[in-house]
Amino acid sequence: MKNTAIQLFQILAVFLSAIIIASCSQHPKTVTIGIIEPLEHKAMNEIVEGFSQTLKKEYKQSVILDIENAQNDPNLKHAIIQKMIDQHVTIIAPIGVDATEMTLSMTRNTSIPVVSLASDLTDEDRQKLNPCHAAVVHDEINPETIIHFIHQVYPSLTKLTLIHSSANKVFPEVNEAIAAGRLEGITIQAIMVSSLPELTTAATAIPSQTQGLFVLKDSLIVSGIGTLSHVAQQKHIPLITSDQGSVEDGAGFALGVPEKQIGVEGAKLSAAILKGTPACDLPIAQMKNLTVFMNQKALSDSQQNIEAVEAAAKKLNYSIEYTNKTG
Amino acid sequence: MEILLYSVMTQLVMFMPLALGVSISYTVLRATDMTLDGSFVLGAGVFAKLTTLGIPPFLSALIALISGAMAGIMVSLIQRGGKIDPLLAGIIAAFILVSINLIVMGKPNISLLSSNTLLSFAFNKSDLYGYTITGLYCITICFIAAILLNSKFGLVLRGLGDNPSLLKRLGKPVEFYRSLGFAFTNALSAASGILTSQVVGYADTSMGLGMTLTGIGAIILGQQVLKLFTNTSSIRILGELSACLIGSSIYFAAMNILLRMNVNPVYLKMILGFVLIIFLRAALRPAKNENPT
Repeated sequence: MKNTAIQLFQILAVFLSAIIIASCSQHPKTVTIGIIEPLEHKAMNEIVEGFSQTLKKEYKQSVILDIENAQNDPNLKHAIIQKMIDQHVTIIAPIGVDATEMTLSMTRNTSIPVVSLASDLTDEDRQKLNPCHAAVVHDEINPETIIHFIHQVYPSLTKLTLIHSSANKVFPEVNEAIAAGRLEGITIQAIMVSSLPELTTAATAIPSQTQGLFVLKDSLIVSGIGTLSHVAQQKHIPLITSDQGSVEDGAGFALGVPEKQIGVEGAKLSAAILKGTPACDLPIAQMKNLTVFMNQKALSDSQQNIEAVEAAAKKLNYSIEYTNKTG
Repeated sequence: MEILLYSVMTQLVMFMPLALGVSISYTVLRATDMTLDGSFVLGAGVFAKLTTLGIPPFLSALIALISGAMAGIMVSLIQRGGKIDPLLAGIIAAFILVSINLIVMGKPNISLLSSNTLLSFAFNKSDLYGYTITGLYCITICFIAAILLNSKFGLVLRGLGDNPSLLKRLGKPVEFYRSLGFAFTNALSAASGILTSQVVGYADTSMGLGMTLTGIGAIILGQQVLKLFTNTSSIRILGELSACLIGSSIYFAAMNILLRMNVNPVYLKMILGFVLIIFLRAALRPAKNENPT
């Protein structure tokens, strides 16, 4: 019994000490912006970098950025958002759809504005919020634009394989891409994979007659881009993606926006909110300036014509960014 | 202190039905049912889909609970006659549920932000009121589960877990009770999914990731801590409920305390693991002292 009491005392002592330390932790008096990264990903770091750099330029006063990564754990994500609410941060900036929805749901009775980065929240969606307290940065590019660009690079292309995950944002884009392909005379065959190991299997099952591999802005597939890059080199077909990171990791080329730009636009919205503009009065920020990211080494490894990509980019007035890194 | 307690409570009210489902599966049915991750999503997904289609939230919740129970029946059918290991059957069922969830939902994420749910009226008034109503639902679910466990049905389930051969000799249909047992635990998991989707404002195919493992960790922890104070076998049902509550509370409290100490979330799971080991060792030591052999 005595031992039990001692053990109980030890447990309580550990708990109370931790609670006291936690209570003494930082309670921000200055402007604090909480950024929620849903998982570990290079793109997240670039978004945060763009956000941080631009905010310094746009808002001259001292701002503390509280950047928390939820490690793809819903419980942790909930705890992070609750912590930010309890600490009365000035703005919460969640990255992605899930994090945005959870943040909006948990802040509905607070006065904390939300700047949603890279989500698909529409104007109609945010007007339905009561009260409307969200500013939004969209990151998706119309698949029609990308397919049109691909057609400009390869006018004789008729068969393209689209590899995608079951991510929420990707689903409607797959259908849009297939429809856009039809208009350009390209038959797009979609292959869905739900995990990275499945990607290896899917890579071996790519139809032999395919003339190219296409990947949307899809974090799961991009994580395994090396697998697809290998297939593209073996089959001498192009690997076309929709983001900068995948090109750096071995894809041939992509039409997209620098991830940093999402952070830049988010910081501009945050600065406007800090200067007194209500979040809901700010129009949804769209990604307008498209860039063609090119990996010359990957293109030549898969025996692709680099000049054709450059010529198409020039014709459609897209800026070109070269990268020759491969992972 | 109150803020921390509030934060832990907000997570507990959503998690408790799942923890209880894991506990019944683990301690009563003596099976590690990995399907619970999938039925958590199924409950949330069916509820969100039906609610957004305009079906009354109460009816949507009821159908979602039944769909969770059916997922449990699927697991029991896979391991019918004990021919397939329960763990393996659970993994296979969870695998199948990934596709089923996607088919049911039609897309990987359904937003409930502007939908009328069982909890929206309360959350529209205040968070405290919203979580109180969620807590009442949670208590009701746990109370019903406790009554069932305390009934003859619960006794048969314990018999099934402890000695299925004896149950067979007593003339009880083993497979029928196995199905009911798994339907019961998976319905609890679905209930947790239904509550979670309403609180967080969406249902997502990836929202159940690691929930079962967290639940198992929490109930083992709760059981060990409970052993410090009482002989759980004498108050079995209360003990099981308390183990869930204590374990889950410690887990969420540790997570929230670490976050508020500004620990980088990258290290959180590792530190959380060490914290759990400390608690487990502290809880185990008296038993060791009392039985030196």
